Amino acid sequence: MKLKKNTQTLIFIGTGGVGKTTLSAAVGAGFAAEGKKVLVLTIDPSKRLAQTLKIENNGLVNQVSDNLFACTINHEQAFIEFVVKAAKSSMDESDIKKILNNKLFKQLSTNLSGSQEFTSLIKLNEFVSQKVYDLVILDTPPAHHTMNFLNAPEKIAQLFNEGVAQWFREADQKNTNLFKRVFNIGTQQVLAALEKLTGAEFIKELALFFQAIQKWQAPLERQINDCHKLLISQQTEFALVTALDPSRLKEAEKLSNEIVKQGYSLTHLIINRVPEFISLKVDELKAIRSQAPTLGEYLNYHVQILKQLEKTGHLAQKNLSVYKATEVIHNQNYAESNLQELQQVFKSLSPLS
Amino acid sequence: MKKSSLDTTRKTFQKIHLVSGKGGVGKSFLAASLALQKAQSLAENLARLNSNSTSSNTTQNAPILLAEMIDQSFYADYFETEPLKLIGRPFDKLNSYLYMAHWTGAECLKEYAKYLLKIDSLVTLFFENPVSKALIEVSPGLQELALLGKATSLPRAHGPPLNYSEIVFDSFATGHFLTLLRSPKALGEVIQFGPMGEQTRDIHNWITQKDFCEIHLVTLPEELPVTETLELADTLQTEFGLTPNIYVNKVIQVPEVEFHKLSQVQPPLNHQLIKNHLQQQILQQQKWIQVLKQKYKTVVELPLFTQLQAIELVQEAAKKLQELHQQQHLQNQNSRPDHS
Repeated sequence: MKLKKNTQTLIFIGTGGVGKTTLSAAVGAGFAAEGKKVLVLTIDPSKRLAQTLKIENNGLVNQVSDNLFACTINHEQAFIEFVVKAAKSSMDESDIKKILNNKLFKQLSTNLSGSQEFTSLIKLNEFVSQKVYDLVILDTPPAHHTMNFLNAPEKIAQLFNEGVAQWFREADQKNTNLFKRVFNIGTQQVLAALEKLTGAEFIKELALFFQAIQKWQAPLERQINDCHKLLISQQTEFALVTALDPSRLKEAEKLSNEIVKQGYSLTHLIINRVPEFISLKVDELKAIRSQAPTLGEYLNYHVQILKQLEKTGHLAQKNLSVYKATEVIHNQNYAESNLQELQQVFKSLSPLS
Repeated sequence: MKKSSLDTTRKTFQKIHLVSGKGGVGKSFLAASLALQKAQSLAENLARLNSNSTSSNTTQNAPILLAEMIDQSFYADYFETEPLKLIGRPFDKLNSYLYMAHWTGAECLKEYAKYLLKIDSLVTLFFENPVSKALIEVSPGLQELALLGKATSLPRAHGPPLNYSEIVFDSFATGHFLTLLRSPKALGEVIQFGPMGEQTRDIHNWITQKDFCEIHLVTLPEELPVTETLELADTLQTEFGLTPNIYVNKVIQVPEVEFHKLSQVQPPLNHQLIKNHLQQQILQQQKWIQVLKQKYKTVVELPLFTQLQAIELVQEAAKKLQELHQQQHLQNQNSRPDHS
């Protein structure tokens, strides 16, 4: 597997259950072995992987070997850190405390950090801007649609734009200005509806919330812009991971079209967990099926899926390298720390003809 | 507005099924297959009952609904069909008693607001507003509450009509699924008053009622999915008092004898490679299935189906589910003490 000369960031995307986390670690291990200083940011690694990378769920970076570093993102922590940092430049201690203690904010941070997309992006941006590593690899949260990940910053920005804040600040004040009163009738109607649905308490909480974060908007917008710039940068590459399964390959095709349409640089497609017997020939398969029908059916199934893939436009896409990674069946629960195993997976990446 | 009854001893004929599991194990596939199996059963029963009589309009004989809760429809692509909406539409390609719908939290909320506020223009003004949209997007639990609110609207007699005998939900993956189930209580704390506040307690009561709500967890016979499934099942039992049904997907079922036959294949091939790989895989799978069976007696094993097209795949699976369901039924009958 090869990256472009100036690439500093490699982002792995794909739906759940395809082995994305392990693969991103494997690629990290591979490039580290080639001499690059690599940081792998993982989400929810398996026990085996966490052991291999010597990481715990505390958000700290661990040195795995000479060139390889790893870290599991602690999302709740990341969000709070982010808020405090963004607020520090324009707010004092007591204001910051007010936000962190706001009931609505607490729930908001749980929700946002729970979805993991936003905090993954913040952390990625943080590490890349440090310019300490040659390559930072991000394993993204599994998503049917990676657009969740890519759109996470915008979703938040929407909430904090000046228009929104103004709304609720006005709702809380008495407007004697006739012009403002007229302008607000629509707003008032909507807020009345919201109040009917949720009760007056909730509206009050919302007003307090928006007042509290009023000073935070500008720094937040700056941070969000930085994240977006990172995603579309020439030094960022995306790798899409999928599996040898008809439905997954279809999803991958759709995902890759979406990504490319949006202008992100998708340069790698990796089909993970491909069994070694995939190279069986037509006559061999026929012979097997006549002697052992169930077995033959099963083998043929995998070969057929691969054939289907070869027919799709995927492989014809220029600038897209397509690889397969061979499946390794583990005999033990927890392998003795196996960096070599990971490096093997990286080496097993072979281009699909 | 009808006053909702908080009396959950009141029975309903409707049943809802929530399907969850680790991302990528085949939740959507299982949900669709389960819904199809039920629709086929319903069709058979109705055919037997009604040779002459006009179709009954009771909930008992109402169609089956397959509803997906994901924000962007999976089934539209999977089945290569037109975009699905909040209101169910029969999917004749599978069965005319099987309806499909796409429920998003935002749409459910909008529908509920219209039901509550009655004035359509006001609701539109509210929901088409960028502020509201942003709020709904990031408000923790609001969309989830709206989904469960709609899911329980029939027994609660609150909300637009939902006349299906059974509803199978292709719900969220593990983490988000728990957020979904916890949303009534969580939001009940923030929104204590007003119609939504009162409803949250009612919704929670119905979700935790065994006769009404069944949970189905899908997994793969592998370490990560099984571990996650056991943790989730545990949480469901301790927090909600619900015992889920467990389904293991993509189980390789190759008779041992076929491995022996491999060496007889002409022209001779590197059968050792194939044998090692598959036998190792089967061994690992069985190990994890045993781990599940140690905790849960009824673990349904679904074989790896080799159909390439989604429609045929789901039809095969529905057949298998019906087969297993009948086997289980027979077993239950035979184990009854008064069986002569």
